[in-house]
Amino acid sequence: MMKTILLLAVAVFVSSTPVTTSVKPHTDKTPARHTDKALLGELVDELIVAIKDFPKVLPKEKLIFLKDLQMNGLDHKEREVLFCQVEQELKIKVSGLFGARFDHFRTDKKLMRNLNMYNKYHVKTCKLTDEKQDKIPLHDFLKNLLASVRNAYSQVN
Amino acid sequence: MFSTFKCQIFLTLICIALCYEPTKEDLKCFNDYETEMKCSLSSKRLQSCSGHKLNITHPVSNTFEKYTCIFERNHHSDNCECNVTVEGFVATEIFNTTLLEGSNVLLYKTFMTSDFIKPKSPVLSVQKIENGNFNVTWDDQYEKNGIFFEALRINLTYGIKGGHKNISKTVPNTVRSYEIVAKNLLPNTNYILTATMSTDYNDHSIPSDQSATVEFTTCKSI
Repeated sequence: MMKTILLLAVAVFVSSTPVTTSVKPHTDKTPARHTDKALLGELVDELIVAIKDFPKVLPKEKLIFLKDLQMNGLDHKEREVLFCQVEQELKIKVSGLFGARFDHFRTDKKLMRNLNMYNKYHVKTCKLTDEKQDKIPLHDFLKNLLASVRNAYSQVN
Repeated sequence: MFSTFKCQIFLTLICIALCYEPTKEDLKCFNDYETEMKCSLSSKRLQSCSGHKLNITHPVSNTFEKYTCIFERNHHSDNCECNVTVEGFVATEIFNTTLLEGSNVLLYKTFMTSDFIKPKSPVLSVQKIENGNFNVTWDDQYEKNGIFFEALRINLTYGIKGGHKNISKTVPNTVRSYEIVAKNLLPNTNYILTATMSTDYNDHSIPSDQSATVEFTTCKSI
């Protein structure tokens, strides 16, 4: 009788243990080239849309100023650091702003999510630049960023 | 004693047979890289979909989006299916799923977005043009243009209606049309055309469901 119960118990235990599995788990720190391409390409798409909401000419009181980060003439490593700094700058100064035109920059929207995922695989943390650095309007910041992302995209495409 | 042992083995086998033990292959999920994630559960031993659900956790930036996907029987496929609406997809984001029967955890499975993209099925259209050829156009059913749109490709298959031989052509989605040359076809014959879409995001590993069939007929003389 005990043997029966034990065998039954073992059978139940074996069949009830949840199976843990992943579908192609992403274990590498560096994503496949085609995912870099997807993330950067999507970032280009989202920036193009976001820039439309921030025309060059705006009333002074509506201008948002961000740090004038060095965005051109960078090598691959420097650009990775830049994208990390860009994410921090946008999160601190734009993501939380009130108004529908800032929706692109909410952390749950695709622009910031693509930027966040790219940085997760490249540079997770970075040193913030000095707050006393020169500032430029958001429109110019985004245009410079778009050029830099396009450059990065062309190198993985 | 031997009959007791046989009884033990029998009971064990009964339990193993009746206890539903899903494998990773039983749970499949796909996303359309727009707003929808669909999951299906298939198993010959799955008696009922009732009580089965999928808890989904989706890390987004520094938060977690949570969804519950409740399975229902699909009478066409006989699988248990469910779907959730997601606020946009990003290529390398992860979905952690927990398959439950009631409160009993059956399975954990993790999906990375780009790996389980299954594009929407295209909608085909065929028009005979002046030169006698057939111009195939399609709607990829995606609202936005952009990198994902450019990464799609369409796999066209056409052949004589009722026939066994088919011709397949693959073209980038950005081409937007494909011309079937009539002189390569038989005159006065009905042809059927279908298509699937696939994406470069996962090396075209998961094609869409097949499109609806479109028919066209060649002229009596070509």
